[in-house]
Amino acid sequence: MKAIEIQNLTKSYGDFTLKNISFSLPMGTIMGLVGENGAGKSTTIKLIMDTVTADCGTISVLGMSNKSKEFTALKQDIGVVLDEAYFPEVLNAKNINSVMRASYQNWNEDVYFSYIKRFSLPLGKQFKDYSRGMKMKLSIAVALSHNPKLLILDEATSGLDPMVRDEILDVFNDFTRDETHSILLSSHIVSDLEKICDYITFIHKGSLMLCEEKDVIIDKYAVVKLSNNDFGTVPTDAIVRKKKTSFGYDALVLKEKINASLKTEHTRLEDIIIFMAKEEK
Amino acid sequence: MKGLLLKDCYTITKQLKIFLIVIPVMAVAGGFSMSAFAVLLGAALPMTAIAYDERSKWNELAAMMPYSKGNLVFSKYLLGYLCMLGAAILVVIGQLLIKALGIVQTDISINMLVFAIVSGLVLIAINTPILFKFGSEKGRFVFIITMALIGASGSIFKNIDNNMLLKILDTSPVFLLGIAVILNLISIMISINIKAK
Repeated sequence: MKAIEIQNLTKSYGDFTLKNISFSLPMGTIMGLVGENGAGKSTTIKLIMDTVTADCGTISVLGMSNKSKEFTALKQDIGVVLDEAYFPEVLNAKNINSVMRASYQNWNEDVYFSYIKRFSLPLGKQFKDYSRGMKMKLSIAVALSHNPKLLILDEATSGLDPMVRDEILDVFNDFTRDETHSILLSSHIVSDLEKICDYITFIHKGSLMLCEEKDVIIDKYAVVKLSNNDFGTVPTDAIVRKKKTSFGYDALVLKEKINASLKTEHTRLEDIIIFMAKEEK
Repeated sequence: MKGLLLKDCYTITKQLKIFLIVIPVMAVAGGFSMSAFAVLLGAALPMTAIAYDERSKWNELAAMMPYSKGNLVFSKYLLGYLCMLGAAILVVIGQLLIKALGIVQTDISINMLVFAIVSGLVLIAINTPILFKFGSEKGRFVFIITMALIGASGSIFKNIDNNMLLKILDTSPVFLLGIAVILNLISIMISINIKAK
């Protein structure tokens, strides 16, 4: 069973269209949903959670169509963190525990308060007085405390300092030690995704550019710096994207299609994503 | 549903302490017209809860939680009914108390209380779908107009016939309550439809 399975998903909003997106998240894995601001990541998450209606396409979550009547009940098994936390400003961590205990059947306040302690969050302080990092930590504590099988995290690490981001990524890694647990993590911070994700789905201007295992992507692509003369020797079908430079060309290439003697640069996932998003074919 | 109500109760009690003092004071010490106004104020509290939800963007998070659109909508109506009921109970206790203390000699008018409750129910029925559709800013405007119309209706009835309102209420308070309940059922369905879009 897949944690999430999306087929031919399309949604139009005025001048933006999410076009024919298909991908699946295997159980027990972490998928990074990457793309620039406005690429369609949040729209995809809203469509998965059925808070907006798709123009066409199908979505199943934990084996159930998100259009079925039972999907509301299935949300008990889905922990969601949004890019801003959205708890009422005057509530404190204790109040939020009471509200969530009354909302989730599997709410575990021992787990919740252990996260509150682990994240050093003040119990009595109102939500509006929390820092951005504290707000996100509280949201993550809530998402993890009702025994979810799937976490859907929309920009959960954005705007946080590297220390906090690292701490939170550790929590996500711990969560997927259970092979029935899965995570869909949207972010435009590719380095975070590179650290923890098994799969990468890249959406650019509403279109699916890439959806593969992270290690396969990193093995498959490389950046090469070429003089104008060398550029002519590279098979055209090996060049995925190219950028003209004063020296010649920088190109993103398929490793298996280039001559092994051609020196490739150390290529990070971020380089691949940026090339695919910005440069010409 | 309980979680949604609890969240609104925390928000209202923390943000609207002054409201929670004014309503009991009006209910007990303000004479009957003020007491009726206390019931109407109770009915207006969901509007405030919706405004705070908008400010914190709570609705976006709530949509991700295991609540149906019906639950999300009905919780606001229920909040209004409970606040109104609470205010009505305070009015009854207050009026009985001031009579027992000999401050006033008149008996509590159940019909006037019914009028206040019916007005509150009508207020909720009209105002809530508008709040869901247009947000709390525009909803507040409609609320003021509705309150003014309800206030004016008393004077209009009085001008036509001094006891006209009481006569209508005497005829059939249950009938008026029934109409208010039907209006609320229609209103809830409209609100669910708005929320579903």
